[in-house]
Amino acid sequence: MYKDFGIGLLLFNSFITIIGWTIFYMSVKIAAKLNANRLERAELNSTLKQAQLNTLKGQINPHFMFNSLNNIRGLMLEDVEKSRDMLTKLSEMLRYSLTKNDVNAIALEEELEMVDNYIALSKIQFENRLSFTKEIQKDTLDIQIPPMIIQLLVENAAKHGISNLKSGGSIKLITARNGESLVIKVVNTGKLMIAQSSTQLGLKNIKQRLRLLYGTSASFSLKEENEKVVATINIPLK
Amino acid sequence: MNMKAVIVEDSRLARNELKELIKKHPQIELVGEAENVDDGYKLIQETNPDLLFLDINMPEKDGFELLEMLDDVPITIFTTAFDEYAIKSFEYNALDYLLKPINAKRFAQAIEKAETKLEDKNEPASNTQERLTGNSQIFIKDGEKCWLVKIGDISHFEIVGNYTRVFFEGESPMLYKSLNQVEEKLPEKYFFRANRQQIINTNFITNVVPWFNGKLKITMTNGDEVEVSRRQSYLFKDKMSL
Repeated sequence: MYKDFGIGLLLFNSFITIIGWTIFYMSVKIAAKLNANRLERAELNSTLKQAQLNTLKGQINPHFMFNSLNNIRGLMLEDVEKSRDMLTKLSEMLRYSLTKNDVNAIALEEELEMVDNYIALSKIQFENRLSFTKEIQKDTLDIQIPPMIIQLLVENAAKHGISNLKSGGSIKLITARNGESLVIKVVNTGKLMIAQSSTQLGLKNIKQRLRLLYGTSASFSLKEENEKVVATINIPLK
Repeated sequence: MNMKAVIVEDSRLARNELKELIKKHPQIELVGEAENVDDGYKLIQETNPDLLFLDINMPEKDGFELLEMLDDVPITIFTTAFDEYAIKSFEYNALDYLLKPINAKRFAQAIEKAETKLEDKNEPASNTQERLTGNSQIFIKDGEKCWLVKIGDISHFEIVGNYTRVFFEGESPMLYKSLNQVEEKLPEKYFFRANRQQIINTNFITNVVPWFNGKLKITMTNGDEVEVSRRQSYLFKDKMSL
């Protein structure tokens, strides 16, 4: 009887041990699995974020591209040298938008070259209807910014400001350091009115990119001040 | 066939481009060019062209607005860089369009099509008359949809507040002009003011019956019934020699 009890106890003990080990094994497994899930999700999130950023990064506006090509064709009839120059500028813009698609930051100076190309090409469309000036603080030139973001602001100013005015207007670009942030300002002639047909894609794009890259520490605003439209971006210098 | 043409386009270089393409077609006589809709409207009133090359995106008013301003729309070829949305908004009797930069072969095809349209449109009547003809076309934009309609295809017009509803081929968009404004321009030959609210095209009548008080009741081809006022009933009988 004692023996029987001993065997029973032994069996009971082994049973407990097995259950214990099973539970331990299971918890380790589950913890590992949960961790893997979490990592996977984080990875997925960052891939998603990257994908979003990539689609948000500016492609060249097709309307602008085809108008430029058409204008260059027309320009060839009167000024071959200038036409050749314009083709190079358009190529540089295309290359920029194709190659900077997987980059999240670029020196402001490099972005400015693109803006200059954009303005030069816009000037053969608008001719004397567009005047462009810039005030660039030297110490802002090497600050890293998201590519195509100034470009988008200037493009918006041309599209909604200048192209709607029969006698044209002006665009001014200002960059400056302000304490712990970089301030980019684009000021254009015209009124701030959201056209019903406008999808506001450009503006949404800028806001979303700033949010994805800097969270709440960057800001964007669009205001009308004394018959001018002022777009302002603040980016933290870290 | 000789065609008088005008260009309305805000980019000077794009106008040069078009002129270069036109040079290859000696039957087209360019009678003027304008860089915005208001100047374009004046130019069209003055020159009465057969053919209009029209850009869509222009400052202040776009190409569609120019078409809306015109009582009689010339044969129109839109030129646009990239504007699928605007081009797609045509529901009826689509206008032709060319994508910039313009392919010379596509340009030649568009000119050929325009010539055919012009042959159909040409009537012996002189162009100096104030009234439209059955082949004149009007442009209607109601909300996001656009129509280019031959006057002769319209069955009737109806007052809606200060504006006018236009009935043709199962469609009935709103035209932002008053019925009186419309009436002034319509060819008297077959458009008839049935009452205060309606103008009918007599070619679209299927049945006329006497109604009470000396009035008439007319049934249109689409099944709509129109009551002719007493005063107009006398005129109608006279006109139709009933």
